[in-house]
Amino acid sequence: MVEENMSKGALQGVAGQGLEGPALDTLKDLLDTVGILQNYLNDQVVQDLSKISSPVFKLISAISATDLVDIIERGLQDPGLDKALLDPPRVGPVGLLRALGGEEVQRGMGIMVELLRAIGRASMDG
Amino acid sequence: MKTKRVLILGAGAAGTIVANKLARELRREIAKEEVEVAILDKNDVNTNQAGFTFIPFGLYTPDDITSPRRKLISPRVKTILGADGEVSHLDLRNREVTAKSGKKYAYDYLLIATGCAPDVECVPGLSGDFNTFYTSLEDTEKVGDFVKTVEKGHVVILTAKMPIPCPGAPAKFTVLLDDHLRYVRGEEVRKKIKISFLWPVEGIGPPAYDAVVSPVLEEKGINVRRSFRLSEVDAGKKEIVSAEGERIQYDFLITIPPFKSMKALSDSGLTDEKGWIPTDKYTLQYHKSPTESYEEVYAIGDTGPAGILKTGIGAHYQALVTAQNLINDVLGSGVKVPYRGETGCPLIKSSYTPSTKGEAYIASWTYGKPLEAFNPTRLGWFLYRAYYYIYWDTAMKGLM
Repeated sequence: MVEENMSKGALQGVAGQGLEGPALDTLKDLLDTVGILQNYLNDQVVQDLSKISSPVFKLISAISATDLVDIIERGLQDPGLDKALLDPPRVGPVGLLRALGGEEVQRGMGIMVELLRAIGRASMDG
Repeated sequence: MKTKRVLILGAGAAGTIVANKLARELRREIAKEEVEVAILDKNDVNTNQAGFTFIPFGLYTPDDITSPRRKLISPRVKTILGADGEVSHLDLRNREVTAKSGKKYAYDYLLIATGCAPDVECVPGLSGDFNTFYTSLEDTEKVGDFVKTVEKGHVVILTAKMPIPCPGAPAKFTVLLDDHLRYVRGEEVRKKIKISFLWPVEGIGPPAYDAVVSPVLEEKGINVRRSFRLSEVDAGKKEIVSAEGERIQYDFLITIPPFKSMKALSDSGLTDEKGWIPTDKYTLQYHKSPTESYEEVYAIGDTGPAGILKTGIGAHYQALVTAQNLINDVLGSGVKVPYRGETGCPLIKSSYTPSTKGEAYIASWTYGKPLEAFNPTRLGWFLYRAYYYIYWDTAMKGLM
């Protein structure tokens, strides 16, 4: 009851500052919706939501701290890749061997091999 | 090109945040071996000490508030733990740090983030009956055993003297204790227990904080004594003695002990007359006197001067600013980002029990902008609870 009165008082204060009509209705609707979220939460729900969000934060930490993302970003926008995606070429064993002889593929392979090494080292951290 | 060496002492919250932010922002320089970031600590587990307050009531588990340091600190940082990481001496004049093992570390930039240590012995008699939720997991679990079994008597929550880390924690603990005894153990148990809260200064936090927490404690029937000057503890008689000679009988004493700088810092002659590391309040650079100032040395977190509040929130903001200043120093931009005194203290009005909804608020303020009036909220409680779970992958990684 006290909260309801405070909410009404706050809304009246907002109305007094020129916000009225549909905007005020939208604000009240928003606050009521937040109330649904608030009523849904309890300590266990908060714990579970927090814990399942951890991998997302790990990913944010990882992608915000590596230049590999910059390389992948540019690579994914490469015009050559765009063209290839229009009609992906069929690459057989011979084509693969020929591609491995090119500098671009070798540099890409270099990154992949170093990434594999890094993942291997990380897996040994315990 | 000579490698620039950044040395961080202490892998607690502040040191870890700085290390991870440097690792992220200076990754190219580290890869080119133009910069080396190293961090030292004596043990291999990071503990979120702010979580100690909740452990006795089962609101977090030990696993929730601890994490292996090697999982927290970026592999780009040289992490040195154990005897090689335990600092025993600092020589700022010669830019050299010595570890307990005898190993020496030279640096170009130094961050002192060693935290502080309890000083139980400085209160006569206190060690004879020392129970606390402030110093270690073992200690706070012991308090938890008491909370689960106490049936009657006088429980005293005694804060010996300021400054202490996380100065809002004693009041938070008291609210949680009352809620637990009243709503989890049951009203009949609570009725037979008197709770006293002895506080060494007049205000419980800033005025706006005091204005909220005082009525909460009063409503809970807590006997609050302000400006209580502790002289000694007579453990044999179970009495607390004030500086004025007043004796207060207790059945169970929970004490927030005095705190001091780490011994290695005071032994190295780095502390000020109050026993803390003196810094400029804005740049957080070491500044003892005009002749004893070192621009390449920063100190943040609980080891900082008495004039800077020792809170986790403060340490977090200090870490973000100092990391940026170290990056600017290393890259030579010369720009100094000021620490504006951002700090804060969560307040708990009630916890989430079968009979109560949790209500809390994360009160915050700065040097120039005092805390304004506020009301604890239900979402504030959930936000506070959630923060300690996501803390390891957000705050400690320097993400926010």
